Amino acid sequence: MALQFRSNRRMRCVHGQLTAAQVNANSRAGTVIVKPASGRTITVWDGWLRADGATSGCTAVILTDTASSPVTAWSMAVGGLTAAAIARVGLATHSTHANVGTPLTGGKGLRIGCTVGNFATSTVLDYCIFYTVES
Amino acid sequence: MATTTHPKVHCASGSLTLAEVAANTLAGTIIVKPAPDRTITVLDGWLRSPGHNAAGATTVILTDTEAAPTTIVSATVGALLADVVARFGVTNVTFTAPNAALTKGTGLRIGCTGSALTTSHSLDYLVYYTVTV
Repeated sequence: MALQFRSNRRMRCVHGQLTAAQVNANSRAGTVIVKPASGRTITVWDGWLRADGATSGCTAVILTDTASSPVTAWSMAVGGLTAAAIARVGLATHSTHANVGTPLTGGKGLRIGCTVGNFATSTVLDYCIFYTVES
Repeated sequence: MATTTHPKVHCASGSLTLAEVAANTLAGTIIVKPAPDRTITVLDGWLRSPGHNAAGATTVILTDTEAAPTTIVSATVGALLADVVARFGVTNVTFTAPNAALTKGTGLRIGCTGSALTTSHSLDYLVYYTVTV
């Protein structure tokens, strides 16, 4: 779906820190950071991730919706998660962000997980995700 | 831990004169006023030196407004090249403890260290933050 431009949307932000175990939870589907809400549709617009160490183990850290067949809003390849560096949406080479700006599955929340292997070496992952919510 | 409240993002943006950046013995100028019982968390942002490379100061800093201020962002002047948007967290723009809640009741100010900022015409800034009660 193409970008949808509408005026007067209020930007929201969820931010915090996940442990490696939380990123790897649920067979790497990860941990919910924004709970699903019926009738609400989330669109991710921007954000960053920050690992405390040189991340290894997984292929990418992913931000998805909470649908049973989740849509990936944004992923950051492990190579972009160097120790304590802020890895933003759009980081060259490492950021895949085709669905940034695209409404995710209606009525679903957001979660952060990883792919292929477990998030390792780093012990925590800081996150800050900017998004809008529409009814 | 998951949120259901969809916290609102606030934004402080504007342009400071060189005198404002160097005011109060380099402590600088307040860009977000302190409010009792409000807690600010800085999420992201950028600085820009319009027109010319920044010089003179050692760093440009974003701090809280406490008597012994906490530095949230410290940008070496070398990172403030003419018209370049220097995002928090890139090389030489140190973003200390991002996502960390500041002291309750404190505001935000922009100042500098070493000596006064020179050469630039002004300093543009954009700071995203949340406020919790």
